[in-house]
Amino acid sequence: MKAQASEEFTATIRAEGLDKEVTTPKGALSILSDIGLQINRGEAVAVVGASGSGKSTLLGLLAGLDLPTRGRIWLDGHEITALDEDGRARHRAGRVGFVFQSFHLLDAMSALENVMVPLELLQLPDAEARAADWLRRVGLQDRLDHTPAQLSGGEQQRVAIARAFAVEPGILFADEPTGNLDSRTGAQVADLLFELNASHDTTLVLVTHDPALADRCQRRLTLDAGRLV
Amino acid sequence: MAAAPALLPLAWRWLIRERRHGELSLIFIATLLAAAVAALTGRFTSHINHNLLAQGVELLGADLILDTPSPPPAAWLERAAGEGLQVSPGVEFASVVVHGERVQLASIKAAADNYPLRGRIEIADTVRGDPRPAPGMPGPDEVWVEARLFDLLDLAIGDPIQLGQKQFSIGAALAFEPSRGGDFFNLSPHILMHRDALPATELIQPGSRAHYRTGFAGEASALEAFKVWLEPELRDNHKLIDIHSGRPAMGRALGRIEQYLHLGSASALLLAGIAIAVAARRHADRHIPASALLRTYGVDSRRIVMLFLLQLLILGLLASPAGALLGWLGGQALLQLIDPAGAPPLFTLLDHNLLIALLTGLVTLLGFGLAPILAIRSVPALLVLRRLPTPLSPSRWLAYFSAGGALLLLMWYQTGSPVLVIRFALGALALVLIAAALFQGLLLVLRRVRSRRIWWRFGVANLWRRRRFATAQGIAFGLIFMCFALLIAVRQELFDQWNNQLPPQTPNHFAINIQPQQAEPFAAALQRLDIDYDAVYPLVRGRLIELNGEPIRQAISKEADDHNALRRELNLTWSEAVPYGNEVLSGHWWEGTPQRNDVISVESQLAEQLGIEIGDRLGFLIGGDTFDAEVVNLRSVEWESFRPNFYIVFPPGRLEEYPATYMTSFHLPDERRRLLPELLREFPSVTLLDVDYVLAEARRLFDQGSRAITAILVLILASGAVLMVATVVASAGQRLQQNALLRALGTGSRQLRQAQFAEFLSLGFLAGLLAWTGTERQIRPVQPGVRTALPAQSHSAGRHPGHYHAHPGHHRRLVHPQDPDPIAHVAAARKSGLTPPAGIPGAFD
Ligand SMILES: Nc1ncnc2c1ncn2[C@@H]1O[C@H](COP(=O)(O)OP(=O)(O)O)[C@@H](O)[C@H]1O
Ligand SMILES: [Mg+2]
Repeated sequence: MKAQASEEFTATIRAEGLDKEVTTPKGALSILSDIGLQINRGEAVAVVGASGSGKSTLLGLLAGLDLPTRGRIWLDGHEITALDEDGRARHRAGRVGFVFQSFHLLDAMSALENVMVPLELLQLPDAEARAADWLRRVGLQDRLDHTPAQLSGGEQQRVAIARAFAVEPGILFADEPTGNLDSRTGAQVADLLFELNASHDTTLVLVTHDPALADRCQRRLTLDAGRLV
Repeated sequence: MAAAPALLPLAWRWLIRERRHGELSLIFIATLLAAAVAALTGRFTSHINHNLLAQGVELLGADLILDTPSPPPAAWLERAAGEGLQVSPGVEFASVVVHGERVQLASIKAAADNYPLRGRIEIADTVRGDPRPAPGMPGPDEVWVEARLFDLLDLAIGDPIQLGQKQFSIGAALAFEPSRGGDFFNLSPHILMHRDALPATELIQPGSRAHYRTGFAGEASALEAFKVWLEPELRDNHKLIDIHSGRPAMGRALGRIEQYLHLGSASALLLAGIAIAVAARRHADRHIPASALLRTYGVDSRRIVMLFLLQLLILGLLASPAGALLGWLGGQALLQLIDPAGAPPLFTLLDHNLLIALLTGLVTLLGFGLAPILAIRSVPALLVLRRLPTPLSPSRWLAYFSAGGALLLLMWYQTGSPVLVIRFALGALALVLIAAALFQGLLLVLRRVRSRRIWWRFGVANLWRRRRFATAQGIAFGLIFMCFALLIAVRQELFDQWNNQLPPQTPNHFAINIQPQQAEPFAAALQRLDIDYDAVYPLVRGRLIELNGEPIRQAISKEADDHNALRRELNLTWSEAVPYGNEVLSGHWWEGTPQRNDVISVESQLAEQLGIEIGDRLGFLIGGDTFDAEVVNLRSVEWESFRPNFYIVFPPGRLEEYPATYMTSFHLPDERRRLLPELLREFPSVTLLDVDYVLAEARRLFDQGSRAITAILVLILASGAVLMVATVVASAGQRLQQNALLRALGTGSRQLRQAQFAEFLSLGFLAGLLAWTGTERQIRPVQPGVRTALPAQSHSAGRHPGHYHAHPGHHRRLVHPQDPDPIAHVAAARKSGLTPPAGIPGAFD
């Protein structure tokens, strides 16, 4: 217990010897090979590299959305590579938040409801008040009842950020959060992300191919054709 | 499961937010329809059954009748009383009645105060006057007599008549009375008296021929217990008669309607179910990204599935009661419309049919919707990062198992016949397999059809690319068309048969007991009075005892062994010409009086059941003689034609030496009914039976039935329409994407429309072809079956010799026709099927 707790303090995410291969009609394809890394609590790390270099794949593995072909991953002190898909999902609950390039909001629901859903699923109290509060914090207090279709891209991504932070996760994974936004909106969203990250002492894993964005992180992991350089 | 309450608010809110989505509406409507169909069917069938049962016991005069040649042992009656049953003893016998100089044989019934236990007696204060319910039984010095006797003896109400040693006065004209046993072959006018007056007549002496008919009535369970106890005690000459032992043929005809309703409702459920499956599949597909997202929140697959199942359940709980109620009210309205007097009260609240309808909706929904929704379980969380080409693949086994299981369960419950259900299942399975193969083959051929038109190639290519879905869609369309075609065809056939069988000129009177020397004068009288009749047939009674020299019971299969034709005397006739309405199916009819007189014509179904073929020799026992005759032709008979019908016909020249009586049937319109007394005065010994009310009842019931069938058909059409919309909606998503792509590639909207048109055209064509071949396949070989299984085999008179033979037990409420005595029915009386009645007029067999 003690050992785990201390590890938790030093390394929130740790990976050893990660390989990822997929089978394609043309045979086995190696996407990631021999990745080892450690990300400490509260750290903001950028994963950079050319398109197709394996950034999203790595993020997916670290977040437990997928399993590596070889290697082990610990998330918050638990070896998630030893868990099945449902086990990994349960392990994520309340610990991990996501922000995606394409927002991934539920179209049928309002901004408020989109933020409420994870809170409700975690059975946290006062879901509605909390969700409204978080939307206020991202500057959308006047957009509570709007559906995604009624929001601009930047506004949608702000809803997504509110949704991610609302469960107050220890770790935030962001995959090209500004990739679908014009540069001005992208900058605003990035500001918001880093601001909240700092104020909540969240561990941030940010995938981007934008050097400016990567510069705002404390550390940078560069991928080239599936290898860390 | 513990997670369910926590998920409920989210499930509900999501559902509300998506309520305008096509799939949800489709699921809702399909579930509603399923429940409505079940409610409507339930409403009708229970109405029909209720009516029949009520009618049956009313005609019987009791729930159960024991017929014995001597008074039943007192212990039996005590036992019955001990079970809490009401008991009504009575006796029936034949005797002459005397009025002045005139004498007439009559059938007398002496009954107790509590007679009848079920139904009622109706009397009139003038001969053929308006009937009214009798206040009780006739007093000790009084009798009530049938109108015919007034004619025969020239009586008036209040006149004295002599019965044995006692003189009675005529209190009223007997208009209707339940249950008459006795030998209808010598049917004579009825007289009803109180049994307390019987000793004074001194008519019943030890050894007198009489039927002691004891009626019982009470709770079904008590009756059953008593019957179980009594049956082993019964001797050969004891008969136990209840509604089931001789269900009237009209009941069987309604059974056909009921079956049609069940078949129709099964089809509707199937269509609604497939619509649900298609829409649920689309619903699940559309929620793949959302469920991947939920996984990133840390929700495991169990809870995700639960969430979507909850939505399905909420939909079901909204749609099912609504549908049940709608179907129920619709059925009620229809009954009210058809039969305002006979319609049952609106709400026997929580009638189990309403509950069943509700469950039917839910079971259909879950049975067909479960597999697609459960497939959501396998959505990988990784989808949030990468658009993987992984459409959901619901477990097919689960899908087939749960959907098939649900449907069969419902059908089994409705029809109560596992055999029918299994047959339906195998048939449907074979159909789908054949259809799938056929469809793929056709698609292949279509693809080969070269056309320079780009839109044609494009449309067909589209179909080909999505050929699995297209096949499913094609089968669904084909199935819909086929259901329509089949049901409409069967319905038409049903109606045609009813109309054919009951044309306006259908005979409504029978004349039996015509003495040989009266046959010609009687026919002449009918002609003189301009009454429509077809022929006067001789009847000779004989037994069928041998087949090709072997005792018949050894010569035939075991199951045919208890065929009615073997258990009693047959009515044989002879004729130069093919009897009216009969058709020679194989062999040749004799012309006039043939050289050989040892030949016979046999009814084809009897032949089939007993395994008799042309060239076989049948041995007969007639009046102590035995002789045999060769089967030279097989003949179909319309048993419900209300005309004399016979199993076996001889040529002239063979039976004349045996004692015979004659019979005929004729049509007499209402306004000419006054001719009857005239006819009766001229031929006092002839028995005339008026079957007009049976005809009227038959027509009324078939009218009801036809409306019920139309209502079901409308619901089936609605289910089919929902299914069509569902399949189109299901493919719309793909189509939209495709079109966007094509448009981006520079395809004009006109071309797009044409391609789409080509796609639907070929799909429609293939589905139509499929439906056509399927319908042909179904109707051709099955048609005789359809004819027998569904259509009116009708009203009163229809005695179908083991008509159900080919369809054993397709309805639990249908009993094997245990030889319901048609004339007995005609005369508003019932007889046992457990023991062969002695004197059934050949009219109907
Ligand atoms: N399941 C898969 N099947 C085939 N190829 C894949 C799969 N997942 C990823 N790839 C390939 O692996 C490479 C890395 O993908 P990705 O991690 O998305 O890169 P990035 O996010 O850096 O652009 C790409 O070339 C991608 O096409
Ligand atoms: Mg990427």
